[in-house]
Amino acid sequence: MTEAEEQTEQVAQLVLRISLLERQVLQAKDQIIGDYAHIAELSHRLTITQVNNEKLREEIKRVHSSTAWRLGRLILSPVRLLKLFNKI
Amino acid sequence: METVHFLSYRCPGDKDAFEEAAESLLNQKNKNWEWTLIPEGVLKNTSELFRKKLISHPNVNFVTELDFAEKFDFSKNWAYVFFDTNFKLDSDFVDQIEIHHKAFQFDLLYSDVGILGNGKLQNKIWRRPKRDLERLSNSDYLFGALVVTQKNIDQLSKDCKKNMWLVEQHATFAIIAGNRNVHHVFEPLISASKEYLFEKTNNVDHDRLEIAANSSSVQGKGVVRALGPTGNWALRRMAKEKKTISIVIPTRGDKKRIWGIETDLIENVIKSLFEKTSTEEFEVVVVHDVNDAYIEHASSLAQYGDRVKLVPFEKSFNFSEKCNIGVLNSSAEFLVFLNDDIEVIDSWWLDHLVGYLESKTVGAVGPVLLLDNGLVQSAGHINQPLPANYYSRKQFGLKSFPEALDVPCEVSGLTAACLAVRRKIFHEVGGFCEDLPNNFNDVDFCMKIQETGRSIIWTPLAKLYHFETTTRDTMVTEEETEFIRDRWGRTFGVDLHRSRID
Repeated sequence: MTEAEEQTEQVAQLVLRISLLERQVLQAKDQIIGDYAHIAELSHRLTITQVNNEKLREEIKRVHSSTAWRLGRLILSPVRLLKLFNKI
Repeated sequence: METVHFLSYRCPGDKDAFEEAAESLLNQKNKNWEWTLIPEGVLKNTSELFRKKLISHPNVNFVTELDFAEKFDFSKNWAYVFFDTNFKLDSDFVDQIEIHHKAFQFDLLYSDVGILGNGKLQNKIWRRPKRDLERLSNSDYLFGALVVTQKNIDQLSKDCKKNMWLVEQHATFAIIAGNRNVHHVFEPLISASKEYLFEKTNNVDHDRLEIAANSSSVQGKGVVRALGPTGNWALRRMAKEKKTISIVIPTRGDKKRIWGIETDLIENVIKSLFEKTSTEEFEVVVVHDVNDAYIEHASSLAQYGDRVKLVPFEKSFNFSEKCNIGVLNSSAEFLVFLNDDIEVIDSWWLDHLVGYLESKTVGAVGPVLLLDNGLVQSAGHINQPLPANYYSRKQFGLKSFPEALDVPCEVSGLTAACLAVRRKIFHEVGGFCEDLPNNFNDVDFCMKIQETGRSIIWTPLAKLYHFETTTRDTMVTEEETEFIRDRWGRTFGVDLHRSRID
């Protein structure tokens, strides 16, 4: 192989290497943006879950403070006492 | 709170609509309002009782156009409502705009619209699009009861303030172009009949819009008036100067029956590009699977010389990877991704797409794609519930409500079957995601661009055929759906760009 051919070969290798590196840069950028998007998505889902939890807590509170629940609790109090007695 | 001032110059000839609109204002719960109107003869058609009531009302002023131009004082009130008297106001409209101003300090407010049928409110709502400069330049969708705060009108020139519609248009353009606070109320504070809305949205006064668009320097010089698909005039952007463009086409080298003839897709698309595209400043990069067809195409495409570059692809099919490799083997400032089953219809398509990319706020742009039977293949994406081609397999060019296919507008995404983007932006967002080899890679790409604050524009003013689809597998896998949801799920479900009644 002549010197000129060697240099041509080296240039071709370099071009190929640059091309590969450029693709890796593209992939890395996509990965970073994708990860940020994924974090934003998770954080969004967390917020929704928290809001839903809060709503459910409010609902439970409302049920516990309702007359029907209190009445039911009163009616079932002997059963509760029996259960407690059985445990002991 | 101070007085809200209503201004009306679109007083219709229909006395019933006018009376209903007037009554809805007179019956506001909050009486802190004033109304100045140019009646244009409608008053004489109304009943005498109503006329007397209106004329004697202390908050209502009748003026002529001349009076308005010479005497109207915009410094008196905190907000002005451009009130189209074909609309009925919600009884707490005035209260609502005060509440929204306290909460959001808006510069401009518009709301969704309730649909009236037989004079009664139907359970349908016109969900209006979010603010969109492109769409607004071509269609007047903020009409009804548009609220603008005083300081935004104050900044306009004296000439602008001489005419009510000029004030409305210029204030709107200035607010949107200045990126000021545009507040969309996602509930119907106003209502109108479906017939009127259809008429209004399909018969936009383009003379007015053209004047407003050009005078506000929003669109720049490269705008030409063009006939839109439904026969309306629209404003078509074109590239201001010659640009270099690289067209990237990933292909397997398939053949398909087109127009009844067995056709070599890549040869057909390249032939159509060179024969039908008016601009000559483009190169084509074909990323081709290494197979028997590759050898065949290497010799058949040689006739185009340096302008067509064949890049071999030796791995299993990955649309994203092929596109990325194509870009790395191209050189131009502007990139267009094209499927191989495409055929050019409009000769100006490339100049038109690139015309949009001259704007720094535009990230990507795509045309309308038609099937060989003339039906729409893609009019951009709609993320509702999952991203899909909008208006797919529907008739193109029919008058529709709302103006779904009439004008260029901002969209949530575009199909990569034809998508133009600047090279700088392509690199900035990391190109197409190679983890999505078949589906949703274009959705992801467009979402990444939108994350940079740039908009995605779809235009019906350039058409191409898309003989869908031999370039990829159309079956969406669960993994792909999960992947795209994990990245962008929060943006799916309600599409803010596309308004739909149904």
